[in-house]
Amino acid sequence: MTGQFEAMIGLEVHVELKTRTKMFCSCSAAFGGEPNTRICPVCTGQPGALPAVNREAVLFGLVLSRELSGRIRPVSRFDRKNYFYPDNPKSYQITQHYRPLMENGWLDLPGKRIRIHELHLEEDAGKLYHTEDGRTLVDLNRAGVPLAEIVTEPDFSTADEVTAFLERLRDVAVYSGVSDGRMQEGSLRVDVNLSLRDLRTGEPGVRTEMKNLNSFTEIRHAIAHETLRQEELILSGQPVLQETRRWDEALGQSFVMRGKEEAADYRYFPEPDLYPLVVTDTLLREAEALRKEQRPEKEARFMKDFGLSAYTAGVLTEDPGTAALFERTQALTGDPKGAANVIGTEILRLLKETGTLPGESFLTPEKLSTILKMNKEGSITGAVMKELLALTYREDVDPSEYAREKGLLTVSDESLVGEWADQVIRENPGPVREYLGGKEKVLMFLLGQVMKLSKGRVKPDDAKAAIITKLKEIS
Amino acid sequence: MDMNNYLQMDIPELSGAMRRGELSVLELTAHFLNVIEKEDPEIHAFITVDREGALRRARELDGQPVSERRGRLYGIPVSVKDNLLTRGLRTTAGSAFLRDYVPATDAEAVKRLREEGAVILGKTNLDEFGMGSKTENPVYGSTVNPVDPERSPGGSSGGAAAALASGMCLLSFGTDTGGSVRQPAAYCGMFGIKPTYGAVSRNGLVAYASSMDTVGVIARNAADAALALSVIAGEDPKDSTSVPVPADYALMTVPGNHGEKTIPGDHADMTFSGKALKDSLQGVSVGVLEEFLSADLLSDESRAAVSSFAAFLTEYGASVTYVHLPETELLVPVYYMLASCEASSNLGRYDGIRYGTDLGTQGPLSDVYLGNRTAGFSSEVRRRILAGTYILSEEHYTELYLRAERARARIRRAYRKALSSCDILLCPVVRGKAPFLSGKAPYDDDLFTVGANLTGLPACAVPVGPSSVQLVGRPMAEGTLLSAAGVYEAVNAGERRTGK
Repeated sequence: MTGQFEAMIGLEVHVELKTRTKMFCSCSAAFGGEPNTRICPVCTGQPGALPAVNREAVLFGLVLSRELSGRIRPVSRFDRKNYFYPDNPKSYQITQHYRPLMENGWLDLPGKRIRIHELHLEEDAGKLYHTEDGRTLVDLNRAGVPLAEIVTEPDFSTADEVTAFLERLRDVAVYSGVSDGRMQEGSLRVDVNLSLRDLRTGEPGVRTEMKNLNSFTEIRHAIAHETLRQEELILSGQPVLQETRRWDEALGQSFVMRGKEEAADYRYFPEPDLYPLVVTDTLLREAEALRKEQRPEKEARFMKDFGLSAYTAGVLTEDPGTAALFERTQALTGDPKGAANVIGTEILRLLKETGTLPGESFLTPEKLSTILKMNKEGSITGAVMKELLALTYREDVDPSEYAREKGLLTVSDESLVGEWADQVIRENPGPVREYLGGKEKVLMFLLGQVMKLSKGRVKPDDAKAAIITKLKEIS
Repeated sequence: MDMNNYLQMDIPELSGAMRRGELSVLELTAHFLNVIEKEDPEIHAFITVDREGALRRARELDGQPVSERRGRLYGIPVSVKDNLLTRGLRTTAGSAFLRDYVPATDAEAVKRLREEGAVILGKTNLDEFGMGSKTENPVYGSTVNPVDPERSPGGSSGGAAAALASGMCLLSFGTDTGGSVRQPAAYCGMFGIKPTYGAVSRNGLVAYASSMDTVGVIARNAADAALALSVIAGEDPKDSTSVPVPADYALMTVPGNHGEKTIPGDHADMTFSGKALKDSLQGVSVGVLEEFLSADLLSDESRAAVSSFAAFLTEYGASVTYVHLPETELLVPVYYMLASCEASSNLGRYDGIRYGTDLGTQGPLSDVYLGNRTAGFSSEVRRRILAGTYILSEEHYTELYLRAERARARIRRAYRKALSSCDILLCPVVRGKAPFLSGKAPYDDDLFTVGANLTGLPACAVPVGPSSVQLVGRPMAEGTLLSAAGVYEAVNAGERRTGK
C-alpha cells in the first residue's frame, strides 16, 4: 500500500454450535453422516411442521455472549429471512435479524479492542453437491444445525489483527465447549468486509464483502488482494463498487457474486411460529454455570503453578483437550515437567500424524501416566514408550498389560544382551572389521543392530556396554 | 333402535352407545360411507374418501372387548379438512403442489381424535391452502352448498361444512385463519367454532398465516362441538405457540330437569325444560357490536338473527348492551396485509422441485422457481403471495408491514376493551346468504370474522332461524360461548328433546 489508505475491516463469523440436536428439531446436529440420514419433517420443511427452539443452543449462545462481554437482550426474537435456494428447504432461514441475542460486546487483542456489534442465533442451510454429470444433489444433514453469528465493527486494519482475533475467538468458542471451531469442517466460517479509508481526508470508502474463505491463509491472501484491488481502482480514478465477491484461492483472485442492485431482498419479518425468546434468570444462571476457564487464564496458571515456559504453556493450551490431558496426567505422576515434555513432543506429533485431538484419542491421563511411570522406573525404554504412546493413542489398549504380553519390558539380563551382541558381530563381519580398523563411528551402527534385535527393549547404555565388551574380546 | 334414532343423538350419547356395544361401529360407518357414495358426486365435499381405512378402523373398534372400550369419540365418523396432515392418507391442502403428498405423520389434532376412537372417513375440500371463501378449487373441483345447490357452501372449510350438512359425517374438523370455519358453518346452517389461538396445536396444519391459523370444529350443535374441542385442545411441545388449556376448557353447562348437563362430562340427563333453563344466563353480560350492524349490505336476515338472539339472551337472564368497536374499518385491510405476508413466506417451499411438478424450465434457477410457481398456484394464491412479498420488501416494510402490525395491536386493544365489560360479543357472521356458485364472493366478505383471528380470541357461529350469529369470547372462554349457544339450542329444540 502507498500509505495513503487504511483498510477498515469487519468480520461476520459463523460459529457452528456443537449441541446434541439441531436448532429447531430433535435431529442430531453432529458433523457428517450419510447424506439425508439426520433429517425430519421440521428440518426438511415439510408442510405443517413447526420449529421449537433448542434450549441448549440458547445456553451456548449465552455462554459466548458472556465471554464477549456484550449486553444480553432480556427479550430477543427470531425472524424469517426469505430466499429461494435448493439448500434452504423452508424457503426461509430462521435467524435473529431485528433483535439479536447479544449486542455491544468486545474482544481484546494485545493493544487493541475489537468491538462486537452483535451475536445472534440462527440455523444452518443444507449442502449442495454438484456431480460430474451435471446434476446437483442436496444433503440436509446440516440444515437446521445451530449457528451463532458474530458480527464485528470494522475495527481491524490488518490481516494480522484479523487472524489474531479469529484465533482468540476460536479459543473462546472451543474453550467454552460450544464449538469445534474447525474451519475445514465449516464449524467456523468467516466473511470479510473491507473498505479503504483515505487517511488524508478521513473519508471512508465503499465496502465489499468477501466470501468462501476456508482457512486463515486464505483470509490473509484475500485481504491482501482486496486491499490492493481497491487501492488500484481508487488511484486510477475508478469507483469501488459495493458488491459481494467470492475468493478463489487457486487462482488467487476474487470474482463478483452479486452487485448492489442484485442484492437479495430477504423480506425479514418476525417468525410467527415462535414467541419472543425471553432470557430468564434461570437461563442466565445455567449459562453462567457452563462457563469454563479460558485459554489466557489457563496459560498463566500453567506457567505459575507448574513453572512452565510461556512457549510450553502455549503449546499445551493449544486446545482444551490437550490442556486437560496435561493437567490430569501431571496430577497422577506428580511430574509436570515430564508430562509437559512428552505431550509437547510425542503427543503433538501423534496429533499431526492422526489428525485426532488428544481429547478425542484413546489415550487417557491414566494410561499416559502409567506409561510415563513405567519409563521412569526403567521397566520400558524410551523407544518402547514411543511405541506404546502411538498404540494407546490410536487403540483402546491397556499399556502395562500390552507391554507385558508382548514382551516389551526392558531386558536387563546381561547374558541375553551379550548373546545379541555376539549375534550382531557374527552377522556383520564387514562393519566389525572397519571398527577394529579404527573407524569408531561404525559403533553406532552396530549398537543400532543390537537395539533392533532387542526390539528396543534394551537400554541404549546397556547395549553399548555389551557391544564394546564383546568387541574388545575379539580385538 | 333403528339407525335414525341413533342419528338423532348427540355425539357423547352415540359414542356411549358404541362403547357399550349397543351399536356397531361398522354399521354406523357403513351408513355414512353410503351417504357419501350417494351424495358426494353432487356435493363434492371430499377430495379423498378413505373407504378402506374407515372400514378397517370400524372393524378394529368393534373388535375391542366392551369392557376395554375407551375414547370420547369412540366410533364417531368424522371428516378432516385436507390441510390437516393424515398419516398415510394423501393431504393436498387443495393445491396442485401437494397432489401426491402422503404425510409421514398425523397433525396433532388428528392424532388426538384418533386416540379418542374417531373414524376418519376422508379429507374435505377447501380453497387452495385455505385462501378463499367459496371452496372453489380449480384443481379438485368446487363444493356445492347442500342447503341450496345453486350456492357455494362458503369457505375455505366449505367441504367440511357441506359434508356435515348433507349427513355425510357426524363431525367435521376444519381450519380457521380469517373465518374459514365460522363462515361456511353459517352458510350451511351448522355450528362452527374457532378456538382461542394456541388452545389447539397447529402442528400438522399446512400453514397459511401462522399467527392466525387455528384448527376448528364444525358440528351439528354446541354439545358435539364442545366434546370435539375438548378432545383436540391442549398444549403440544411441537407447537411453540400452543399453551395449556384450563381444566374447564370448552366446558358447556346447560341446566336440565335433573340438574346441570355438562359437555364434555357426565351425560346422563338429556332432558330440558323451559323452567330449568329460565334465568340460566343470569350474570352473563353480552355486548352487541354496534358498528357491525351498520355494515354495508348487511341483510335483514342477518340483522334479525342478531336481534332475535339478543332478545333470547335477555329473556334467559343475560344483560345485553351495545358496545363500540371503532376499529372495524381496519379489520379487513390489516388481515389481508398480514395474512398475505405470512403466506408469501409459508408458501415459498412449494417450488415444483420437491413438491408438485417441475416443468423442466431451462436456464437460471430463478426461472425454474418462477415457472413452476406461476404454473402451480391458483390465481388467488398468487395474488396473496405477490401482495405479501411487496409488503415485506425492504422498501415497504416500515410503511406497510409495521403499520399493519401496529394496527393489529390497536385492534387487539379494542377487542380487549370491549371484552373488559362483556363476557360475550355478539355480531353477525356473514352479511346474508351464501354467494351463488357462479357469482363472486365480495371482497370484504370476512369483515365480521377476521377480528377473532387478528386477536386470537375464540368465536363461534350459531345457527339462528334461517341465518346465524357470531359469539366472540375472552381468551380460553370457549365454555362461555358454548354454554350460551347450548341454552339457545336447548330452548329451541326443547320440544323435540323433551318429547323423546
